[in-house]
Amino acid sequence: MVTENTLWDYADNLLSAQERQAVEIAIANDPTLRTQLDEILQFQQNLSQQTLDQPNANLSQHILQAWAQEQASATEFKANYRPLYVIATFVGVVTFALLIIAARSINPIEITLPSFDFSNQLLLISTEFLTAIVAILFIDKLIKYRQHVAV
Amino acid sequence: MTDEILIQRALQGHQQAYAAILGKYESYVFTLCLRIVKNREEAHEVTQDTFLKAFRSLSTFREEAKLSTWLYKIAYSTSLNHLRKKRPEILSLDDSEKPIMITETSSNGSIEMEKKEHQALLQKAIAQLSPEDAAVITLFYLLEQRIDDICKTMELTETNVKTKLFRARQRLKVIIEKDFCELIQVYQF
Repeated sequence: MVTENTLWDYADNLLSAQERQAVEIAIANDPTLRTQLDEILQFQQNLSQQTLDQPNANLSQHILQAWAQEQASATEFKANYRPLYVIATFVGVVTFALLIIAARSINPIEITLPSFDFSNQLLLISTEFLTAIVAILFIDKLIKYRQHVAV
Repeated sequence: MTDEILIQRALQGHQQAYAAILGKYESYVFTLCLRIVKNREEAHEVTQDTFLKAFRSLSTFREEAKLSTWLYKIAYSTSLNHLRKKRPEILSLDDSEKPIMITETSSNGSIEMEKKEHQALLQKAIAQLSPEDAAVITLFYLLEQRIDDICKTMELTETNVKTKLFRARQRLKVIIEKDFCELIQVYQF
């Protein structure tokens, strides 16, 4: 049974060779189907002859300007972040080196649980500083991820 | 210059490559956006958003898809998001939604009407379709996307795309027969 949907698929070249052949046989034997197909082909031709809508001439310029501004802001943003990355790397390397030195000098028999002196301001400030760096890096990654997902 | 080379050059920081991508696809993306949002000013905004999103994510573009398909996908989702934010009442995923009516109607029934007017008439009819119907018709017939490309753009299965295309054509035919009946015989719609 050749339906209107099948005729559209035939006109749009969406059928397999076997299905096309079946439609062609049906059309040859049924003048009504032939008329229906001719109407579809005419309608399809009208649809295919549509023309593109043209945007305003300055749209490209606006987009390129917006893109250039965005890139400039991104470069500035990276430049502002660079000192933080340098500090974070320095702190990370020093901490790692201290841990290695400490590990080499420890006698496992003499290990006792560390006792933290919470009145030590230097320790507290260092901890807060490290936490702030980790938080900033996390937020940076989160923003980039959200921008990526938004697309 | 091929799309692959344009993308490579854009990622290397060549501004001319971005301009070339824009020049190549601007009209196509704008047409798709206009057919969906149905307002020139808004279509300009959405086209700009589409290209900025695309440029930002160019490094994530996978070459198994065509650049055009990828851009249309971004344009389609950006246009629908724009409509959801601005006019949620007209965007329904239900196929039985009411068409968007336009106030301007053709009053010139002259047989001597030029081809431009003929195209304008068809565009007016398409403007009365729902955003999704207009998108599928535009993607298939005007932007000459294959069914599998439209599946990627609209994130639908092949069967769903074919069904949507069939229904969109039916609705377009009904609109033309109903609103532009005096011209049907002239142009054999």
